[in-house]
Amino acid sequence: MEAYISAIIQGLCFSSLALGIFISMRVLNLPDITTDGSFTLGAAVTAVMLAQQIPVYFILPAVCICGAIAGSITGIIHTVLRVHVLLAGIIVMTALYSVNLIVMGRTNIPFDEGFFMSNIFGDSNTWITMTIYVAVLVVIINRLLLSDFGIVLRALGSNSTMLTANGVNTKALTIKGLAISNALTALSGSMIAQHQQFADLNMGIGIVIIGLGSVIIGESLFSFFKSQVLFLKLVAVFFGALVFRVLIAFVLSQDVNPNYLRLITATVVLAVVALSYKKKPAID
Amino acid sequence: MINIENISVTYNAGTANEVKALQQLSLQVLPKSFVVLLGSNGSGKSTFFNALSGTAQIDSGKIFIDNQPIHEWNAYKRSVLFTRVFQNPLQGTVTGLSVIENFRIAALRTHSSKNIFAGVSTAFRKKVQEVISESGLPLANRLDTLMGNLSGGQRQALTLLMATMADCKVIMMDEPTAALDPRSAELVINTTQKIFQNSPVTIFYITHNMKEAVSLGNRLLIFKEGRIAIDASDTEKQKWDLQRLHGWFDEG
Ligand SMILES: Nc1ncnc2c1ncn2[C@@H]1O[C@H](COP(=O)(O)OP(=O)(O)OP(=O)(O)O)[C@@H](O)[C@H]1O
Ligand SMILES: [Mg+2]
Repeated sequence: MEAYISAIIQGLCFSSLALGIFISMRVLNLPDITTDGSFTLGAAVTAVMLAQQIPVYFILPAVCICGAIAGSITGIIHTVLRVHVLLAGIIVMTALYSVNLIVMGRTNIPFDEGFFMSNIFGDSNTWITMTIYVAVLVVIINRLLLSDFGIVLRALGSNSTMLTANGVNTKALTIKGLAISNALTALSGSMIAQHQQFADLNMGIGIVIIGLGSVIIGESLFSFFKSQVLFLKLVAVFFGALVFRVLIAFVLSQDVNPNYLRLITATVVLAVVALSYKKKPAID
Repeated sequence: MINIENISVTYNAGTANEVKALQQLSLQVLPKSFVVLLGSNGSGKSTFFNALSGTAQIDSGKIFIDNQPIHEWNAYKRSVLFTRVFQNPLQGTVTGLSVIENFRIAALRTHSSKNIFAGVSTAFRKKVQEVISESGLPLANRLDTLMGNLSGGQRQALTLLMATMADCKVIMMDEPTAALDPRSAELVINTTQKIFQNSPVTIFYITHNMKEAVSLGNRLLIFKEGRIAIDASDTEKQKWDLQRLHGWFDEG
C-alpha cells in the first residue's frame, strides 16, 4: 500500500512535467527533449538554494526561471539558427549535463529537509500541499491557454502561415512556448527532488518518456469524454501522470527486478500508444 | 498608394531547379483600386502576393506603401497593412481552434496595445456573431465548432469575414472561390464587393475564372512568366470582354 501512496505523490510531482510535455508536444507540436536536462536543472537549483537556507517562495520562481532559460535557448537554436528542434533539444540537454554538475558541485546532494513546499501552507501534510499546488498549476495553465496569448500559442502548432499573416512573430512565440514548457519541467524536477530528498545528476535521464507517457495515458483515458474543453484535457493529462506512476508501482510490486524499471516504463508507454492508435482512424 | 519597383523573386537560385518566378516587376496602384490578376498556372501570381506580404524573399527591388519602404519589414510586421485570403482554404484558418478563436487571432492583428491575457469576451462573441449573421452565412450559432469540422468552402468564407475584423490597407485574395460551390462563391464575391464599397481598401484578386475577371474590379493585370503582360484600367479594362480574354490566352 505504501508503494502506491508514494506512487501517487510521485504522480503529483510529475504532473507539471506532464503539463510541460503537453505544451511542447501537443500545443506547439514540437518534439522538444531539452526535458532531461531542464528536469535535473530544477532539482539542482533546488538543492543548492535549499543548502543556502533560501525560503521556498524564492526557490520555486528561481527554478521556473532557470527552466525557462533552458527552454528559450533550445527555442533560439531552433528558430534563429534553424536547427531541427530535436537536435536543438539534444544540444541543450547535453550542455545542461555539465551545467547541472557545475551548479551542484558534485553528482548527488541529499536534502536534510523533506517537502519544504509544505512550509508554504504552515502544514506538514504533503497531500494537502501537493493537491493545492497541482490544482493551482492546472488553473493557471488553463487560464493562460485560454488567453489571447494562449489562443495564438495553440494555433502555432498547426498553422504558422496564418499566424504570420496575422502579425504574429512566430519565432518569438515558439521561444516563449518552449520556455513555459521547460519551466514546468524544471518545477517537476524540484518536486521530485523534494520527494526523494536528494538531487542527482542522472535523475533526468529518460524523463521525457515519463512526461510523454502521462500525456498519452491521460488522453486515452479521457478520450471517451470527446470534449474539446481545454480544462478537461489538462485534468486528463494530470490524471495521466497519476495513473502512469500507479501502473509502474503495480508492475514493480510483482517482484520485478528494479533494474528493469526503464524497460518497463518504455514498454508501458509503447503499449498505451499502440492501444490508443488502434482506436483512432488511420488518418489523423 | 502602392509603388513596386523592379522586384524579382528566384526560387532555388543557383541550382538546376532555379525558377525565376518574378522578373523585374514594377507596378503602381492607386488607393482604393480593385485589381484583378489573371495568368496561367505558374505565371507568378501567388509569388507576387508572397513577395508583397514578405513570405517570399525578393532578390532585388523595392516596395513602398504610402512611401513606407515595407520591403525592409518582417513578414509579421507587414500584416498591419495586408490581409490575405489564401488559395488553399486550409491555410487561412487553424483547424484545431474554434471559429471564435480563429476570429480572435484575426482581430488581434492590428491591436497596438496588446493585453495578451485578455481572451474571448462576451462582447467579442456578440460582435463576431453579428459579422457572421450580416454576411448571410448560416454559421452564427456555431462559434464554438472546431474550424476543422467545417467544409473548405465555409472556412474560406469565414476567412474573408475574419479579414474584416481589423482594418487594413490591402486585401490579397488568391483564388478565393476556386474551392467553393456556386452559392458560397457568390457569397464570397458579394462580401468582397461590400468590403470594397464600405472601406478605403485596395483589393488584389487572383482568379482563373474569366467571368469574374470581366465583372470584377477596375483594373486588370495579366501575368506571364513572372512579368505583367497586360495592364488595363477602367475603360481600358472594360474592353477586355470574355471573347478577347479567351483569345489572348488561346494565343498563349
Ligand atoms: N516555394 C517554392 N519553391 C520553389 N518554386 C516555387 C515555389 N513557389 C512557387 N514556385 C514556382 O514559381 C513559379 C510561380 O509560382 P506561383 O505559385 O507564383 O504561380 P501562380 O501564378 O500562383 O500559379 P497558379 O495559378 O497555379 O496558382 C512556378 O514555376 C512555381 O513552380
Ligand atoms: Mg497561385
